[in-house]
Amino acid sequence: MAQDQDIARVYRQCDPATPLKPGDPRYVPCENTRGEGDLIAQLTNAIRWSETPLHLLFSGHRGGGKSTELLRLQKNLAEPPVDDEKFFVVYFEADQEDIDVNDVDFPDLLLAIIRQVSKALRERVHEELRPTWLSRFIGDLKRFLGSEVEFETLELDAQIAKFTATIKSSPDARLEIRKALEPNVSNLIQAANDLFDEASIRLKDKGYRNLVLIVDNLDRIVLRDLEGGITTHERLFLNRGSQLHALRCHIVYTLPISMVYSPSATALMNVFGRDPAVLPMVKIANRDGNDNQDGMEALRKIISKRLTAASVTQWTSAFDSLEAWNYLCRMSGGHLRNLLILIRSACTAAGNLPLTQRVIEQAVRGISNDFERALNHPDFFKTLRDIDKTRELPGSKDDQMLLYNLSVLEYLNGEVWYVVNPAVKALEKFKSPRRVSRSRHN
Amino acid sequence: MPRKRQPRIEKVDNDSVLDQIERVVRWDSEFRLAFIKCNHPAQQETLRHSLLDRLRDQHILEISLEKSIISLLDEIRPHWNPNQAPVAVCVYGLENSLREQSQNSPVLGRLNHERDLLRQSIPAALLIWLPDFALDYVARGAPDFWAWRSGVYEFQTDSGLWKTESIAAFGNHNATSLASLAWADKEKEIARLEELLRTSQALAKQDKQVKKTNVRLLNQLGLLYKNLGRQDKALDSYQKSLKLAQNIGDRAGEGATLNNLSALYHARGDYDTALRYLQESLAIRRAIGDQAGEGTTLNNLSALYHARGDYDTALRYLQESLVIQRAIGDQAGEGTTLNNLSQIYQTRRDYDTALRYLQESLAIKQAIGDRAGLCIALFNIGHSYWEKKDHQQAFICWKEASRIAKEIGLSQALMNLEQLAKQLGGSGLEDWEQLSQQAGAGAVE
Repeated sequence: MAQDQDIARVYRQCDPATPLKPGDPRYVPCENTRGEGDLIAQLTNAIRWSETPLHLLFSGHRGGGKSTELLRLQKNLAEPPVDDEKFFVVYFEADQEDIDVNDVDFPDLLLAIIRQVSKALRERVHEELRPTWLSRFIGDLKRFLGSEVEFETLELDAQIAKFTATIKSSPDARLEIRKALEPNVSNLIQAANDLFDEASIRLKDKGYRNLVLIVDNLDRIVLRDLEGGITTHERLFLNRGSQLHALRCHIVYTLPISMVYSPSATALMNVFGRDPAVLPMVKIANRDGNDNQDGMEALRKIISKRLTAASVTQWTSAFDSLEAWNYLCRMSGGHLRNLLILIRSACTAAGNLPLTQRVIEQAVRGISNDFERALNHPDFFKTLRDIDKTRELPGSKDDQMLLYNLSVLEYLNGEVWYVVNPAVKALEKFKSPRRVSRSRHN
Repeated sequence: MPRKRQPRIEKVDNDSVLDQIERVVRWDSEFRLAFIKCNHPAQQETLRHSLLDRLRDQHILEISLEKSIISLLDEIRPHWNPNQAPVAVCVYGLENSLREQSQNSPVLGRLNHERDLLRQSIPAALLIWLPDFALDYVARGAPDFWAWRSGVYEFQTDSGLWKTESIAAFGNHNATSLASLAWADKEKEIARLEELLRTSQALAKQDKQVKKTNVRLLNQLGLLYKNLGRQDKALDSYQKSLKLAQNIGDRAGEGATLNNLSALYHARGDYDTALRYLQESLAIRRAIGDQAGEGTTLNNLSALYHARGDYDTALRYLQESLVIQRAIGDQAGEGTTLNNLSQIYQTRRDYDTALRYLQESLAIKQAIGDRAGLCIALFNIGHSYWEKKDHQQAFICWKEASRIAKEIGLSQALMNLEQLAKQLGGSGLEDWEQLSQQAGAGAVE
């Protein structure tokens, strides 16, 4: 029975759905094993040292620890060591309330930003901003929603919320509102900048150095081809890049990982003036495919901390062999969320600690099967086999999709290389295409 | 074509899958997401009862989604009582929201960005039961939601149970009943058959019986697609069916598929190919003594000769067909044959004989509830009346035919009726009501 309790606690400590809050004892700094130094320290310093507004792009595989790191950035800036000035940080998840990730364009995002900033100012420091041009413009816009909406008594952010909610929920109204916004975009940017300037003045009075905006989850924008040969990602970050860049406060935008390695990466660099910061996987293997001992050590440490949090003090109580433990780490590909999913699946399959090699293999087969669901095109496997051979992206049209759905992971160590997710490599289809296709017509 | 999954190296039996789900429920009290794969509705009921029985000391909330939904959160919220919060929420029937639009269903986009709200609002195990194909759609269409799963628990389909189900499904499915389904039901039926097909193809043991079933499923899918005017999909299904039937030596299936394939080519005006398929079909059906099939194929052969203007040959085939159908009591076939006979007399301007056959055909179709056949008979009766200058009767028949055609989505009939409405001075299908009123007024004068 006590055994049963242990495994339940381990299960509870491995939640793949919740990023760690700053200061969580389970957090393990991985910067050395990710291969890029401490990105968050670099971003913190870049913002602290800059006199002009910075527009930073932050990217990484989904589930690779991005939100956990961005929450650390927020804390670094908002609660610095005593002798440093603090920033007023507005962190928001773009997809939470304001934006439909299936169809997002710059005007939607701009409205969302204005709304989030004025809301944070009102709620956290009781500063109510009522910029005249913006208020009038919003007043004009309301015609598009019909007259029954009562605006006069609402705060600016609540007024804008009416639009963002409509934009998010109704594709028809979205087009109408965008049509109305489009000719006014440069005025709207001007108005947003006036708002940031005023906010900045008032924040200085309250002891803040300045305003910083962190826009998380923009990397969740659904990758789709649009008319004119561009993708949804390119529309926002490239075509609208100079507008994203024109806002007058520090902003960290999350960027879909596929953009970083797409042919448009150079154009992106030209617009934003710097390369995106990329949070790589924990590097568990070297380019030659052998284990990277530092990376493996880091993953074991991540698991150890969670075991400790579950009051399981010896790893030998959790795994029946070091091989089994290493196998688990290796098969995660250094991807933290997959690691947690694997542990949870192994736990429910086992029912009791310690976890055995057999039960971890079962969990891996499960996650492989899950990946196969997203790989619905035979070409995908061809591209994957190419990548496995060359450790490089072949520049095929599937590259972005494969990075987007995590079948391909990227590692850094001065140079960049790519590996096929070990769980995908384990698929029969990946290994021997012919045998599978023949057995299909039986 | 739905993918075939590789067989697992190690089969996990359904009891141990139940053990695992029970652990997901008992071990935690925070939000956690798990998917449960179950392909078979009847089996799902059994498994659901087993799970609830194992967890009878726990408060479980069950949400059944019969209709298509947009937001899962909106469906759960009204049933969520924070004072009596359940430890688990079982969601059934989400696939009903996925079928028609596949991975682009709006519900998937919503799930993708509702996930934080779900996590905050539902501190419980969210157990989403889905068939295999729907899990694929979720993985592709809602990758961020999918990424939060704590596990996917897959029940194996009990193959004995599946066969029973499929046989039951076929019992009431001949071509006539499929064609008479309402439009939306045809779409649903396609989804159901695709699902059955996928389940069947994923069965570990692919014996001849299972493959024969696959042939029939593909054939029925082809028929439905053709009825809805999706010729490419129909052709694809028939070709797969034909290949499979030939591989396993399923002569009956081969004969049926060849017969159905011919109809596609007939509709395109490629009479030579259609004829070749029909002759092959006829030879096979005669060889194996499939009389009902023979009757059908003879009927289609006659239609082909009719279309080419060779009425004597057409008539001969029809009479042969009628003899067989009456001998074996194939009423549906008889109704069709009588209808086709009438068309030969219609062409020869013998409207009274044509009408007599049509009335006989109509009576049979009414008796057996063959709505597609009824629609066609009415359409033809209308023509006979029109030629006999009884315009009012003609309009009444066409109006009724257009009502039925719309209801069941009979694409060929709809096209013909629309064309006819235009010829008569209307602008399209929606004008039948008005056109028949005008005719009525004209008759009074």
